[in-house]
Amino acid sequence: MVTFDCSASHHDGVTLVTVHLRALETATRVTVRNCLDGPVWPPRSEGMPEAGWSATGFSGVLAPGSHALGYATPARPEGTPAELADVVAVPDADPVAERSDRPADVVRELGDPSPPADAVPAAGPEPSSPTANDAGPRTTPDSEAQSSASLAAAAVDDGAPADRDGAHREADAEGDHTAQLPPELGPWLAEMERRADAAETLAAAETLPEATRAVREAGGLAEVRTLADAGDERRLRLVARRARRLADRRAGATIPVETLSTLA
Amino acid sequence: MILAVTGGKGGVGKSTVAYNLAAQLDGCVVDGDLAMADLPAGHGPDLHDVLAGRATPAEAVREDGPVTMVPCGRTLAGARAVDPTKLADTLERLDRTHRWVVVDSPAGLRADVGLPLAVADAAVLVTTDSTAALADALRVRELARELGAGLCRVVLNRVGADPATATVADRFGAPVVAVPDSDALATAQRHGRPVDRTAPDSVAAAAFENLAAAVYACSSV
Repeated sequence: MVTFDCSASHHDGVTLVTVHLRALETATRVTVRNCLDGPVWPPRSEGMPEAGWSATGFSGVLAPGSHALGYATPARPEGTPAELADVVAVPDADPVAERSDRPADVVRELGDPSPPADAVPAAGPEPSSPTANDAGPRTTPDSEAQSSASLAAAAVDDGAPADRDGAHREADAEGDHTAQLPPELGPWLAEMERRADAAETLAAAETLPEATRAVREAGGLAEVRTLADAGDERRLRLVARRARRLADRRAGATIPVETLSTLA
Repeated sequence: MILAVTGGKGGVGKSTVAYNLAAQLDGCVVDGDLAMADLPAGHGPDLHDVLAGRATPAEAVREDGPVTMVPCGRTLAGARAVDPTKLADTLERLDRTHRWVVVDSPAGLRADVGLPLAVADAAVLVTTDSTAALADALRVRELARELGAGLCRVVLNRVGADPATATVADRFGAPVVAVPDSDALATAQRHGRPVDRTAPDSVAAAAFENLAAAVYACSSV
């Protein structure tokens, strides 16, 4: 049951009204109406009235517990300064927002303090840049137009370093960067890397002698054709996507080892 | 106990106050200015590494200098690579192993100022008596209040012979400690040493002693 009491004090021509709402058991929508003969001067931040305040008083959802509301008015304190006009329990509603001190909320409200990307000198590839893998710049439509060779190379680039970055960004990834790849994947990735190198050499060849040499190194025209049609890029992206999905699932599922061992 | 040394405006002496206060309290000072680190750095992992997940908070603590500290990286690329939300957790973890964690906050009003305030038990505001510095410090005081960091003291830095401490105290609603403009202090800071080691009898050293005593008093309330 809610208990309501209020008091008023008068200083320098301004009446300060204090309202106490105690022992709210669930989130509750309350309406507190000013009974004094004057306008409500609500609490403000940044010059704007706080959420829930209007010309007649306060109306909003309060979290369980005890709360104090206060406002000012130029009217003289005569009689009961305020009344509780309405109380409705609304267990599912979100209480009136106070400034949250959760780190993510602080960043959201105050702004990311990181220096802008343009301020960072572009000194070659930046392996620890957080935007490098988030933006996914290589999946834009115009990059489809590039030769499949350079894309295959890009896909390999995307693989290992970007995933390691992803691990750095995870909250619980301490020490992940030292983790080794599973042994089954090593030879396959090495083969993919070799083919990407070959594709790059082929794509970069501009003169006849260069092209001849590149084709010979790749093992002949038939091999070149096989390399072009192999679909390496698609497969590598598939692996990357699946690996990322699995990593997300693992990140979402915390295994309560301590609890389980206690139960066992 | 986490103590945020903050102030809004740049160049008012936040780093100097944080460093010397940490020296007095025998605490750990954290250089929280992620993009413009100010406190002396050495080799080894720093706050950028911690916030990017490459090192633990304990690994970044330097105990070889005159003041225990967590330095911050100097590169903009490093500042861009950090996850700022980890700052809160990092400070709380340092708080478990150190009696006093003094955070040297950057200028401005962005999340790198707000995050230390969100986890801090108390704040020390640093300002000079210039109008711009006072206005910025009042804005930070507002933010500190919203984020639940009680204002312990206002440091009126670089004051002359007759500081307007009463006016400032009235404006901020908190007691003021005046730190005089001092060559001894500037020299000590330039050399990366607290002033109570280089000039223990100076007026500045006495001012920090007062400030530390006041912070002790705040913590026991």
